[in-house]
Amino acid sequence: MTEDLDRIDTGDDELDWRLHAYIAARLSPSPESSRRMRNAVVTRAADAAAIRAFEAERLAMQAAQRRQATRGLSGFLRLHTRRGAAAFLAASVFFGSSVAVLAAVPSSPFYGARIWLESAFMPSSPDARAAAHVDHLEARVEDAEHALGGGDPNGAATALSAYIAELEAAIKDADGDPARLAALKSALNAHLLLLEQLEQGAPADAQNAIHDAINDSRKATKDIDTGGKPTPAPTPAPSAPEPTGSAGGGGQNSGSRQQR
Amino acid sequence: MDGETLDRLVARAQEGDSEAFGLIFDEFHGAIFRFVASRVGRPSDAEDLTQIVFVKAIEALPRYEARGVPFGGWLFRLARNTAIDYLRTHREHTDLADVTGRATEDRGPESITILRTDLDAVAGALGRLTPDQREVISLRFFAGLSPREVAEIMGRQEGTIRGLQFRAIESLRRSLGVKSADKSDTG
Repeated sequence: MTEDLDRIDTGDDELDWRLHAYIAARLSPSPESSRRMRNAVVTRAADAAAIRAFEAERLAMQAAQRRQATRGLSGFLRLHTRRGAAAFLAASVFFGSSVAVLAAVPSSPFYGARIWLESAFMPSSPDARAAAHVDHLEARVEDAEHALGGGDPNGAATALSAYIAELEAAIKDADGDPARLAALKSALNAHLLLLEQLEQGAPADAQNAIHDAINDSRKATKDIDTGGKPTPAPTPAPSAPEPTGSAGGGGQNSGSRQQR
Repeated sequence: MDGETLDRLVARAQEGDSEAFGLIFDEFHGAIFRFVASRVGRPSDAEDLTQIVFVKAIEALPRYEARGVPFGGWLFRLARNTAIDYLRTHREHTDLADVTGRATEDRGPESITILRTDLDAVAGALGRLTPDQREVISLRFFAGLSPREVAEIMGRQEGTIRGLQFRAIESLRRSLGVKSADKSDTG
């Protein structure tokens, strides 16, 4: 397909020859230029591979932690089945719903409830809260990545809208503490790399949300760098999810930016 | 490079093998450069943009799936979009006729002048084509793609591409004063 310029055939030998001469003289890269481009591109490919390997390892660790948590929940359920059919039924319904909510993906009607539950059951210690915020931010990026991978740009936009809200809450809860802000900044830098990768080739429906998430993350890291206290937008206290379960739906992403 | 070898290289590059991506670069960079250079004019810009095309490919590679879209077509679509974005924001791009080429460097002053005049004439003739005709000539003859591949990249029917190519060649012949030849196959 490429480099096969001998097959140029306009139907006219003289025109073929003149186009060949033109290509050779004016459209072909010099050997130095080819070397420069190749070095830059191969270096970039190696960097990208290293970042992806790091991310894959991180995601695998998170998945293992989640599997462990689910196994703990299953054991708990088995213990309760011995206490009678009624208790078993009630526990099953309760935990079944909880698992459904906790595993909800952005396009699910339970996603808003999942976000609300996560923010409602935050640890009380400031350092533990800061760590929980970082976990939640990573989960939102992961949700967006999976949604895009599954051809669901609206789901990705929903997850990134939740990411922005979580970022604001994380900055607020860090309360200017240097150690918490440094941990947050380190996480944001990794998210920026991922978000910039997601932005490339993402469908138009998700572009704005990704762009907003990138801008907010960049602004937050810049604020942390300059030592100026970040000025997050006021974050409303968690409220109960809407009965329809659409709190995390497509409307949330556009609405949140308009309010800002 | 045959399709099977290319598929293997793409799979290795998707797994993070940067040297495999280097071999992909070796295979395609000449054609991508020629296509981009024919669109933007200035060689330094063509080098930057060619690099950008391959960086975009690195970033999008994990999401690339071979189903129905050959890798080369996918790469040229990235190149085409990159060139279009560039031309949108850099309207003052160098005219094709203003570019000085490397092939003139090793010749004497007289032959340089003759060659330069001829190259300028070709650049002028290309400049007189319609944008669609120019893009077809760039992809067909400068990048070396088939009419079918060009049709896929430009989102047109193959017959439309052949028609644009035919009219572009006629226009080039007229502009350059080349008499019609009897060769019937125009690709």
